[in-house]
Amino acid sequence: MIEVESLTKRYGEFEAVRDVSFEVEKGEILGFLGPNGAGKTTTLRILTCFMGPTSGRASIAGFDVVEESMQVRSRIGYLPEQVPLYREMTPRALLHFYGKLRGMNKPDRVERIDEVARTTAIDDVLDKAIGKLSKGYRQRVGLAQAMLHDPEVLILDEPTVGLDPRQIADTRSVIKELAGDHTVILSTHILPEVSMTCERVAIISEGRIVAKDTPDALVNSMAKHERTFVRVRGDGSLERILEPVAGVSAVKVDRTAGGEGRGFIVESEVGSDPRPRIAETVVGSDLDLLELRPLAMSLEEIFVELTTVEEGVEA
Amino acid sequence: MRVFVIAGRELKALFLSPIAYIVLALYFGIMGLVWLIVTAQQVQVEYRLMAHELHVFALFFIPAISMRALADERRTRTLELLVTQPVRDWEIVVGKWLACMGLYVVMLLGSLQFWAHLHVWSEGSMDDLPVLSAYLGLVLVGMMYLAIGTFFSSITENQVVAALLTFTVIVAFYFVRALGSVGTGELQDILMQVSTTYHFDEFARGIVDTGHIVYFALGTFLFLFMSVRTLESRSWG
Repeated sequence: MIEVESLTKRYGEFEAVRDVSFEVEKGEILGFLGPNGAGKTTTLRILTCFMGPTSGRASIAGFDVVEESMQVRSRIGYLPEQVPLYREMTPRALLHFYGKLRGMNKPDRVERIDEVARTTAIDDVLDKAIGKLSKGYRQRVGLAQAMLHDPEVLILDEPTVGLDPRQIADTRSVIKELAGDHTVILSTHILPEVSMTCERVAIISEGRIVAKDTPDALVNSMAKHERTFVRVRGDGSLERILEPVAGVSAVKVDRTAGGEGRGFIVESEVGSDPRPRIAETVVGSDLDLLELRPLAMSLEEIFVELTTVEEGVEA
Repeated sequence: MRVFVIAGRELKALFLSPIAYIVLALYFGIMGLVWLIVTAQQVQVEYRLMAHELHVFALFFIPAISMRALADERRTRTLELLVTQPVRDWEIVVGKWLACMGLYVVMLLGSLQFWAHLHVWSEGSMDDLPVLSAYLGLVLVGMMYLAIGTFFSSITENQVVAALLTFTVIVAFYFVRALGSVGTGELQDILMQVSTTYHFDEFARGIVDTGHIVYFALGTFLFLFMSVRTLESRSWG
């Protein structure tokens, strides 16, 4: 549905986006994840035909964003970053305005405005001036605008910024419900958002895509080592006992672990799974084994790893 | 028509902001004063005298009408949402310009009251046709000045900058004929042909000539075209 091929955008000397390629299948939600200034907004602005790429190409539903921009624009709904809306208008008038620009007739507009207002929970502010609405309401008016014409593709730039936790949860469920019939690209710098709403994730850092996969696969493939949490009681040194065990590469004290005894994180080579040997060794020593469980690497850790490694390369 | 959807929204926005009211109040206030002064000095008011004054007023008021057209969309970043709708850039530019024309025409219609006064005072001896041609000239010169204003509004996000640049350029178009008096022959002729005053004065004298209409139409087209190109430039790699 969305194809991006070695897209590059240069502002003078500065490369905001370099050689970015990815695809989004029909009905899929892609999370576009990256720290601020990584090139997320620039990429989305090229996809929505707001600006042209320096090189590379992108197409939506088979239409090129540069050559067939009108066809592309009529098929997408866009929520720009920071949701710029006409402050003097009411949400109802605003939605009628964009509906008219998209060629919707009056009965259609009335019906759709009613629908999207209910979905985004803005029905009680439809006739207040947008400038007087809270950030959370404005954000949802923007989302309603993007959904108004029931577009095939939705491009949402930081859709949950500025919302309270309850609104965030509501917005995420609205976005999740869009999947299947709609193709969605959602940019965010918030990690849980991706694992909660997206089927696939592309991580962008300094203008480059550094990883793309499902959130789970990313966690599995990116893990450089497996980790096991071990809790013991007793005074002996766990480090000394476990270091000779096959597969174990490091033993670290886990200071965040409260409760009884002492907590440790044992790192081991991928695929070695030394858990039975760890158990045996600890039980055979003078320490009491209280707990032993595998730790999964979180998306957050992968994100930090990927984006910091990248910075290191550049330096 | 998307042009009219955009023009309609813009016109409503003008009237929802204080700008339209300040412009209208100042325009009618100052015009009324000038009218008082003119009628106190002369018993027989020639209507075309008022036409010149209305042209001068346009120099001051047009920058205030057109300054927000695109500059405000840039400043508030609503332009991003507008240009990503399935709307052509020329439709946005022409829509904005039409909305400005709407407010300008409201001002002109208000000034018709002076004609009405004159008409009544002259007890039917007044020739109304020059008034009509003068108003045609005012509409045409307004079209061109507002196109200039739309252009300068498209290159900046600062409304004050847009208004000042517009004022500078339209005043230049107004005065360039006077510059011609220092030159001779061909130069004088060129400066005269470029100036808006030369073409406008013919209308004020009651002469409707296709050549003058073409001048204003071309000027309007040129500046609207430049505005469209400015808007398009965002997508040049």
